[in-house]
Amino acid sequence: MKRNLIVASLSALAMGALFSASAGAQTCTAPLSWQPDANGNPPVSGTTCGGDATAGGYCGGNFDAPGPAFVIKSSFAAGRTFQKISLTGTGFDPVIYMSRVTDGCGVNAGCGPTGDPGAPITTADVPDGDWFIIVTAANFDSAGACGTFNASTEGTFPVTLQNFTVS
Amino acid sequence: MNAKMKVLSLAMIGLFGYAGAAMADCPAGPTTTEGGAWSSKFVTTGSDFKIVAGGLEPVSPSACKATSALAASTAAAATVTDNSPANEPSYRFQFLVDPSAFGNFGSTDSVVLFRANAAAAANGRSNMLTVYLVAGPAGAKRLRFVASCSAAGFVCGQNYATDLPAGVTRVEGKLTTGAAAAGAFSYWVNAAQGTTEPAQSGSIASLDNTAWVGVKSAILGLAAPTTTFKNAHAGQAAGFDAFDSRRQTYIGW
Repeated sequence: MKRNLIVASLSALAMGALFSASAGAQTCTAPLSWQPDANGNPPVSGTTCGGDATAGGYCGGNFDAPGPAFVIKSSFAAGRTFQKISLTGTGFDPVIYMSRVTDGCGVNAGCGPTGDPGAPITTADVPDGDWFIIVTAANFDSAGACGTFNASTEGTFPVTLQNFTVS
Repeated sequence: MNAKMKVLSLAMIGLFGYAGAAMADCPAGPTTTEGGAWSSKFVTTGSDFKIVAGGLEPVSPSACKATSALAASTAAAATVTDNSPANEPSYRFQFLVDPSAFGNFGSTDSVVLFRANAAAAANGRSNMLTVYLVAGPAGAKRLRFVASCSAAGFVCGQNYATDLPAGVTRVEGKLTTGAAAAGAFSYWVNAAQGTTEPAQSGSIASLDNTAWVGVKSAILGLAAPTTTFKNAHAGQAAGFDAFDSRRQTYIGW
């Protein structure tokens, strides 16, 4: 029996280990899909400047939204190997707020994990499921604060198989 | 009548009168059944709320204070509740907090210090007011005030954009329930000594918060930490003291 396995998309894997998932600012309506491979590639680098400005706050009002956001969408499931998601940035004080996709984007949804350059998000704090990973300016930043950032990890969430055909 | 309530172990609680007398020993716990003054307490597994020696007041400190510490869980809470408010349309409160044990704060470190709740939820929220301890730049700590309101999302928040000093901070607030601009929140942070109302430190205007009716309970203590707070500050205790509430006039000290 002949089997043709067609994997139409292994998210991000095709990008390979040598490239970053770099793009202009991503928004709630067009978030960047991030499913790194077993080595955590590609990382995400970009800018929050010019990004999503729909949120009036984050984490149910726990934090203000002083600047625009870069919106990432990721799925986490069994088989994950990543231990932490780290963040660096320049030009502002970058933070990550994670909220459930089912709770909406830019709507001040309650938060799951949070992180910043000094406090990576740990795998233990991320339940399985679909999450928005919002990179934006810290609560205490000045109005309009934005900058460039790099979000990285060392493992997979895992990569998701999005299309599989057997013939 | 300008009733004054003073709680946290050394005092009585209730909206209609107060007389606190120093006691030589601290009570076994914060609730009335333990010898304290609070209606109840809520302490999740591994968290801790207790009464210990050493008041926080800068002048004539009481013999005792409360400490609240959280377990390493984002669902952790170590709080006490005052159920004596009766759907108060005008509610003033004051407390002292000492977050020194937390050391530096990371950018998304945050934990709830105080809540004033309605009797019933409206628009999905029962917290009429929440006071957060949040981060300032370079590891500093600040306060954030969030009131329920009729704006989109039903949340109106404001950062007090001044780093807290080392040691004890005094927080006073006045939450007024009313339609349109009649609903408002004012706060004072580390106001100078005195009982005449000074200029406020900040305010949140036009809450239009009649949907919540008024304050029915006050909840003091640490709760709802972010994951970064949970990971960095579990087991570290904040001190609380000199909780006071009344209906109309400025509390001061």
